[in-house]
Amino acid sequence: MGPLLAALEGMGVSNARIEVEAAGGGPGAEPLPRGLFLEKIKEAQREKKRLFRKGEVEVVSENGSDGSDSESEENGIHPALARTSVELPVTDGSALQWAAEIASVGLVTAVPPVESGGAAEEETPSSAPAPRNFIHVSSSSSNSPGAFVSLYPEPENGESASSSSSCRVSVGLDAGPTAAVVGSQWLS
Amino acid sequence: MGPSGAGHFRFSVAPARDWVPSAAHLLDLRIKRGLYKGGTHGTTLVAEGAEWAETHRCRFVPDEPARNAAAAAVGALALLSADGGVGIPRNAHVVAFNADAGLWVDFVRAVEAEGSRRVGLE
Repeated sequence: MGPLLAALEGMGVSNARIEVEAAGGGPGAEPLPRGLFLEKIKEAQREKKRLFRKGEVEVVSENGSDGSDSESEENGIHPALARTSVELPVTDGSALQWAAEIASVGLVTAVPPVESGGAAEEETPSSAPAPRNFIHVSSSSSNSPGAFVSLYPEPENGESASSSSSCRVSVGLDAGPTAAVVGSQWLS
Repeated sequence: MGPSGAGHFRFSVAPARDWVPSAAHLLDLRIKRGLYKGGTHGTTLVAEGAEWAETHRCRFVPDEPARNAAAAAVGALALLSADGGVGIPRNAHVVAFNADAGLWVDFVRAVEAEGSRRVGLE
């Protein structure tokens, strides 16, 4: 499930979520926020295609139904929600095939529904979290001593607070002596 | 991921696979913990000391585990998405070391508890 979630976020899909249906129960009816959605979902839903053809994964409409005649579809609104009732296919073990599938269908900017007061052509503004404070969590587990995740707020760029260039993620790992081929690695 | 770092997600991060420190560890995960049930041969890199068990399967020879960790970070940060936006924070530097899924969940909860504001994207 992690690779698909990573592919959705990494490929620029907003509100990335994966919904796993419980046995005998459907997904909740709580409406989802709107954002950037997959371009060909409408067509795929009509033709009952799946995002990943050999997997048991399909992209569903806002209310969790097949949505073939829902108002949200009439307005071109579709959330980036992958629904599955089975274990997601591992594919090749990475997020590559998910990312390729998402790239092949493309992204489109969603527009708000007419009933919410917005014009049909008006694009939904996208946003990102921007914490102001230092955040740090560390692991107390003996399996990964010294593990931590920290967030360092950085000053906003120039006059615009909407710059998307000031986002940095650095990850590191130390496999210790058990896997010398891995050793200690960092990537930014 | 900027141009000086890992490059585009699709080509430089997405292809990286998870790894285990030994074949015995992988068997332990499958048999005792029931993980990797759908994982066929070759979906996980297996270390054997100073070498990979199957060197030809490694896609990024020097740093595939770090790239896989970057993919895991992107997936975890996706949980911060809301209101039609993305999850990777802006105006911030996120640093993770040896982080597993549980620690990432702790981090996401800490960010949400901070009540972070959101900024618009172009």
